Amino acid sequence: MQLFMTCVLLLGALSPTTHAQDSSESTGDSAKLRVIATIPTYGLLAEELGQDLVEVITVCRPGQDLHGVMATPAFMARVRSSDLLFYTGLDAELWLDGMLRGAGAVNLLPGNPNAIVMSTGVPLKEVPAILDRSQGDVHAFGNPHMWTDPLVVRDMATRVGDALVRLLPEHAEVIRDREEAFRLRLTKALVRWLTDYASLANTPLVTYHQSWRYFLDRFRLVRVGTLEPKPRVMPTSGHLTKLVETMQARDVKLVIREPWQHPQASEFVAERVDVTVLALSTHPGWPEGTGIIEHFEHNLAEIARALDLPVSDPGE
Amino acid sequence: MLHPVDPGACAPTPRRSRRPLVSLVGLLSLFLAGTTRAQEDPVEALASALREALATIERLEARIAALEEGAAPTSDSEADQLEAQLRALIVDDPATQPQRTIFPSASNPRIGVFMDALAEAGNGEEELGDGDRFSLRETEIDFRMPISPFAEGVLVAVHEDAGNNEFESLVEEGYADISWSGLFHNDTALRSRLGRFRVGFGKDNRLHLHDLPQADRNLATQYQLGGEGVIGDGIEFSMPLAHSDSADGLGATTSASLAFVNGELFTGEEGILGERAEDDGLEIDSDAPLIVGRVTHYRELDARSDLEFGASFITNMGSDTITTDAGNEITPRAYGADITWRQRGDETLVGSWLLQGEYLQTDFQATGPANPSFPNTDETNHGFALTAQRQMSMNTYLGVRLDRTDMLASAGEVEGVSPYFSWYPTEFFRVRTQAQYLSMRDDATADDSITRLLFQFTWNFGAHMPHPYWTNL
Ligand SMILES: [Zn+2]
Repeated sequence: MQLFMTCVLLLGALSPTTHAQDSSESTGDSAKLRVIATIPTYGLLAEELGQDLVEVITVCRPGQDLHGVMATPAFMARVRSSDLLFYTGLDAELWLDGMLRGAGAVNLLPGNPNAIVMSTGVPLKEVPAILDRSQGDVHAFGNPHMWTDPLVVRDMATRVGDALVRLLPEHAEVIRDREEAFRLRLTKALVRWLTDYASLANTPLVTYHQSWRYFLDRFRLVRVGTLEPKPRVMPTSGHLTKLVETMQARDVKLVIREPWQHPQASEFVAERVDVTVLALSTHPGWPEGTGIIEHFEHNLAEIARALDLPVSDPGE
Repeated sequence: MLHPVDPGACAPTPRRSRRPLVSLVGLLSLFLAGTTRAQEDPVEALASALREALATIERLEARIAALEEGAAPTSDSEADQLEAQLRALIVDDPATQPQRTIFPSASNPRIGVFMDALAEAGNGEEELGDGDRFSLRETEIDFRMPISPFAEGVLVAVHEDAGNNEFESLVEEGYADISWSGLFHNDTALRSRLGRFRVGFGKDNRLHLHDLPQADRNLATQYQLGGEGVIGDGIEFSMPLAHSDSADGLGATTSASLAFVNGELFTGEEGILGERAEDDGLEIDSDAPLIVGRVTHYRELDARSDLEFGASFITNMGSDTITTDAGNEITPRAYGADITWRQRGDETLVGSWLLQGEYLQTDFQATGPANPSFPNTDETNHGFALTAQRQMSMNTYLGVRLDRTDMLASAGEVEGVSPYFSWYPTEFFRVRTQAQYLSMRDDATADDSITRLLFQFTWNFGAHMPHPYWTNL
């Protein structure tokens, strides 16, 4: 029993000191608001509006599948003692709960005021009528990949601004100004894209997963099928053969896969139909270094080029 | 893994030039406020006017910066115009639905069910026992749910085949997972499991059957700790001890856990000696009060690979030993060391590697009258398992495990080679084929060898449950 108590006391004594130690190692400036973002879009928004007021850790890399993130010990240590979390919610980040619990970050578990759900209020697409795995690994609440729509991202900027202003009220004006500037830049770009890329409307295409749906609808592209037979079920040759027929009937010229999706399935259809296969990410930062607006710019330009349509000029 | 972020890199540079002014005015107002109390009012008014002016300057500067980027409108009406333009271009999509508030689990826990069926063919002693060739080896039901703002309740109930189509129900784990930071509203990362749980010893021992990379536990775990591994009732404390990120964003984390449990190391119904005692009509009077400790060091080597070292021990608490009704006194001790290296494949995640080694040592001391189950002995047993696994395609893995171990409370030893192939048609269904060649040398009996083929089918339904970060898929 004596040993028991000694060990408990030892652990108790270790906790505050070690914490002080490693926060000085990894954070540096303790005055900054520590922000966790599950995906690059939220991380970049927090940086854009918070700039020198925040330190942002983004969990999912720009070339990584959000659904496949693993809560490693290093990430658990990084998200410890953070102040604010931006995540999609619904069932996009099933690994988040385990990572937060592993980190002891119960202050950011879903339902806490500083755990900001970015999907709140966004009208959902592809809400399943049947909810079981005969439909694949469906998103139970509907498609959560809403950050692919620039108009949704514009509202997300406001959500990020609201959270930052609430926690940093003394910097409210400067944060709101940055938010307004970002929203205006995005709005200008969006008006130009919707005008210059109006000819994309009704273009049929095929994607790998359902991840592009919000983007496609915004620019009125039409998804005639996915390489996956059902969400997160491996493409089968039977399904792909049928898809090839559909693609021929609908005159599909374009297939989009994300960098983490295996090229085998898109190669299979490309051998049988005359299509361009584009590897595009739904996350900004892919290609490397792109911000939110440049990322949309890149994806739209790539799609236009693949379809032999004129590419919009971002101007000065 | 980490998307390294340098907030300094995107801070606007023009802002810097204002810093001296800010501090000057700040100092001035402080100075005035501090020294001239007699004229409090006008000075205070001046200072606050200055502060207001500063705030305005900051706001104007932000606006200028925005204007320079060409983003800010020159007037509000321009913004309105732009918005009207945007609205005219947007085509409303009839396919969208407003979010519904769905509570799929209302106040019920999340439930995940794992079923594991095993078929075998071959000679010699069966994995399944009692001549069974096909068995629904185990059904595991995992319930979990927050029980407070700082704790989660977990129950893992298992229904397992005890042979001859008889099923046994047991609680494999049932604990509250408590975060002390939430309990005491501070920054500590200390976490506790309170109840019954797989103790934090070794690598293989900590996993549930369906999470194992092979169809069976490694031989060192089986023959030194018992077929189920070590489960204990008590309390465990765990926390990260140190973490650092290198300049290029690669992290290194050291963490530790310490548990005080009544455990089934060697003894109890699931322990090796417990089973043997039962066969011999003996009884062991209690589970041993145990201390279990583990230190883990995890390190990201580059963007694609990482390494984990672990060292663990189990020792009896205080001077308590376990006694049998025949008067033998047993002192249990176990030590473990493990290393795991994994490398992700290309960006599509195909082609990953997993290399893992685990070493186990048990010190077994028994005193008292000689009897066949518990020889009066002081022996040290060693064992290891080495695993190499390669991802062959999106959903197939090929691997091999090499084993060698002494057997507890016996002069025997076992060696094994187990190549295996795992196929995941979906994330929720797995088919695994494992060949196994075992060579056993027991006390009295002659050498014995077993060659067999195991077919394992694992499927899962219900909620997505957490699985260890290093297993693929
Ligand atoms: Zn998805």
